[in-house]
Amino acid sequence: MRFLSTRVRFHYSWIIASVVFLSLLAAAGMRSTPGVLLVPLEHEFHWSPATVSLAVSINLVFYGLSGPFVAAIMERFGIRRVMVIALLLIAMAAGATIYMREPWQLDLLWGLLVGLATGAIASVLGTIVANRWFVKRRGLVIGLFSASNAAGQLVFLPLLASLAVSFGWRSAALVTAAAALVVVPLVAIFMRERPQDIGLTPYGSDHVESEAAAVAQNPFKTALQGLMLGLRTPDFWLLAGSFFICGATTNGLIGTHLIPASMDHGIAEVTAASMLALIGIFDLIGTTISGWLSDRIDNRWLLCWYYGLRGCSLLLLPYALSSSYLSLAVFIVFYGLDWVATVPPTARLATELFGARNAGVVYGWIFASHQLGAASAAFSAGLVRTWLGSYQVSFISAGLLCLCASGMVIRIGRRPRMGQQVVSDILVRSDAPVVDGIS
Amino acid sequence: MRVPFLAGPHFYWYRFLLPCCLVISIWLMQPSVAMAMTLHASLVRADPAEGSLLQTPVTTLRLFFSEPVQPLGQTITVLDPMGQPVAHGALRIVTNQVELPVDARRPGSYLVNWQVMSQDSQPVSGQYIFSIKHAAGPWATMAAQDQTGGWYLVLQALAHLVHFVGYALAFGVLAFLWLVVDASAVPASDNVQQRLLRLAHIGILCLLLAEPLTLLTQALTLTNGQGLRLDSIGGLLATNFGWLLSLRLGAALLLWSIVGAIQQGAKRGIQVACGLGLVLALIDSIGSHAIGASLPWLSLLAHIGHLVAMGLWLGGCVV
Repeated sequence: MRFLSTRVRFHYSWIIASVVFLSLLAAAGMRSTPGVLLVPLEHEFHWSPATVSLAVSINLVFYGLSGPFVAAIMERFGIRRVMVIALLLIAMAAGATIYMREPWQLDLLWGLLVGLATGAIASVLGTIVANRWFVKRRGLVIGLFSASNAAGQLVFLPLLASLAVSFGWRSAALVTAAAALVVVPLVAIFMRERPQDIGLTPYGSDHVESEAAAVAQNPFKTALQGLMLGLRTPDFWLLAGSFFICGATTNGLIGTHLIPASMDHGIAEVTAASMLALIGIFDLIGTTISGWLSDRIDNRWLLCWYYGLRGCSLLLLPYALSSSYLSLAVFIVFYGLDWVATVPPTARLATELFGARNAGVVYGWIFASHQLGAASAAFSAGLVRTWLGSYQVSFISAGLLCLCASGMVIRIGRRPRMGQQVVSDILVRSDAPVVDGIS
Repeated sequence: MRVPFLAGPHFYWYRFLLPCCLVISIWLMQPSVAMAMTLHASLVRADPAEGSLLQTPVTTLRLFFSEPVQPLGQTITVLDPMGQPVAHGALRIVTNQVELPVDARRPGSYLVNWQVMSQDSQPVSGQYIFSIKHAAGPWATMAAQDQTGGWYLVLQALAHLVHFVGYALAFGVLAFLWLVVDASAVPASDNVQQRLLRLAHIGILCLLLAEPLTLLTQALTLTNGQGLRLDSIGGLLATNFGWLLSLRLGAALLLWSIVGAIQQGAKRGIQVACGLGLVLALIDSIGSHAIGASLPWLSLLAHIGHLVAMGLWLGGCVV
């Protein structure tokens, strides 16, 4: 491997980044599959929307809450092993759905197993890999990993939807399983734990770091220790609270309710779905740029701007929906550009505040709060729609919450909280705060 | 906190003048129900008229207001002597006239409940009865009600007071920091700035508290003291009032972000915050009586100037 790394012109970190990008891309597609299966399953098995939605809810909860535990398990058993097992689990669960007959089987396969497995190949994985393999361009890499989420949905959704329409929902489930199996050998062959395993330093670092051997520690204890470390720190509350609002105002509200809200205003379903796809495209651009910016600008300021702009665009949304397409276009551009743009600065801040070693677990909990926010908003916006007959109050509340998040992130302190090591292996240089001004 | 140039003998005059001004302000702010009613939309005429006894069925109900109005919740409900709604078509609003197709042919007394939004985003409501052939039914002896009692006006005034105190403390203090402290030859210590920002935080808290209080008061106004109803709150939030409320809350939260940025060393934040103060004054003016004047832009400008002057003066006095 050392031979390879000296002969080729690029650092091996970029191969690792490519493999992780592909895995995240595939996992994002797999997560979006239930959206395509909802209606066909209702039609074939005569299940109610509530029955199928329960499986989706279980999926979301396990996807979000598995993050910190997955981070700890990765530290204990290794990234490659966890990724391979997770991908095989997705393939098995997705493949097995073609034989299901009962709602509990859907809850088990798509809810529990796919939720847990896709949680292992998510934002937390990207943060751990970026922290281990990159010192320079770390923010850009986190940005690319975050963008793969949107790209996965853009690539897979139309494909799966056309398969489900042409050949039935089982073909979509099988393609999902096959996609997971295709990624397995790539991960098995190219994935490495740390740069020092192949005699390299992280990209952008000149220091040869001592090998950090994993210590046999209970992953669950590690995850809970990470939570305790975070809960004692005001900055964790600010970061997790703002990320809760991020989840509530993206996946939870807009991701779930934009299409029905558009239809309330007389916009056709196809047009509304295209709007969501357009938001995904701008998200791709915005998140990548955000990653690049997070290497250069104080991340608190970036987040303050992102949340502020998102808040203003959400306050505009009710009026954009009932006015011209130009207003809607303005909303799509502004909102799309910072849809997941908050991920790279949040991940970087978690690293700067808690150190690269602790960042995986602590960011896992911060990410869990993101998913809790998403689940809460998805439910409460539906409730408000039932109660008031419109989404206006939900959109405006979300806009105000974003402005609140903007005020929260600017108050995050500059001092890194590194007093306690959660992951008990050897402290290396990459634990040090990355941004010079933070010390 | 004592600022050097205010430490001379003139400062003691302020100690005398300030209580006098406060007493006069409180006296002027005493709400007069009759005066307040003329400032919002009021029902000028109704067809069928209030208390009228008709011999023929009614097919359309028309309400004429003193100014253009907006729909609010169900806007008009008409109940027949059996308590059943008799509206059978879409509500139509043309400037200050509201029309509702009804089918009122059953003999007896009919109850009309109405609620509309004034131009200044003030909800107003009322009820009256009319009868076909003869007065009968559960509301035959019910007296007409229009607008609201004095208690709600006191609550509304309190909500406005909290808002204006918040405005003065938040923006007035920041303007003082910019125009007086930063511009003075003596450099201000960090301690002075932190104390002023603490005052600004109290102002932001007042701005945030004023909005739920306003919403609560307006919702109680609509139900005429019969307790809070979720549909009233929902109806209010879906109107111009809800939009202005959200903008005022947004401005307060944005100011909180900017003050956070100032605390992190962003010097230009003070100017941006003062600019936001102007925007909030504009938002307040849109939701005031000025919007209904014959020259709205001139009235808005006067209202903004009035509000900003109040903020600067009161903020400076508090410092």
